[in-house]
Amino acid sequence: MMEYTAAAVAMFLAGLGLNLKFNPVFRKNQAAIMVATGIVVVAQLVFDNLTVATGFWHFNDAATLGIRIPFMPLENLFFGLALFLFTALFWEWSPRSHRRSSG
Amino acid sequence: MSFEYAAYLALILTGTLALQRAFRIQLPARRLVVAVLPVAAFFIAWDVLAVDAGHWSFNPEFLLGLFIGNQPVEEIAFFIVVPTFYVVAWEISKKRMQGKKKTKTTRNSRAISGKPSKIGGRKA
Repeated sequence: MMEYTAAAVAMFLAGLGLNLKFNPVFRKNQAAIMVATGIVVVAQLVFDNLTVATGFWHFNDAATLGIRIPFMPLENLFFGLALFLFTALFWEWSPRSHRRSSG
Repeated sequence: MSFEYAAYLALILTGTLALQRAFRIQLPARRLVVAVLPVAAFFIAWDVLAVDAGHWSFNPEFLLGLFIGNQPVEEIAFFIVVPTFYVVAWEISKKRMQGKKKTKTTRNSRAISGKPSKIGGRKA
């Protein structure tokens, strides 16, 4: 029961925790986090509602809380935010091709 | 066979590239691949397990009909396209906020430097 809820919330918290611990760029740019989160949430609300309402995906109500906003399961929001957090983490970790020398 | 899901991804990708150009975001291919591939692999693995467990399913009416395991090719592409959009959104947010910070710092340093401002510049 509610396996998708548990998995999505756990992944969101893991992504947040890993960024706070291991991503200094993330920690130092709190205003940017708020703006990016806003963009991600708005984009997800628009696109996921369009696709879920159209019938691209079917979600099993037994695996979710049953809360929809308005068509998209609440869990999708955590799924999208987890995807964003892990992407931000790996993006900041990935080597830049042109590093400025510190000397 | 239908291409709605593929068209939906093409729309997101077009929007992402338009934003990247508009905000002059650097997306070095190597850095993007190194960042996106591990995330995609991890989330595709989650998707495979979730579909197996019956948490969600795909409507074949909107798919090209090409599958790798239980994953439609569109779903695999989703985990490349959407993180690329997220990288652009993150870089835009950083750029905008750093720009604001710089403007504030410049204003503050002008105030601290003692240069007479137009208001209250005269000494009593």
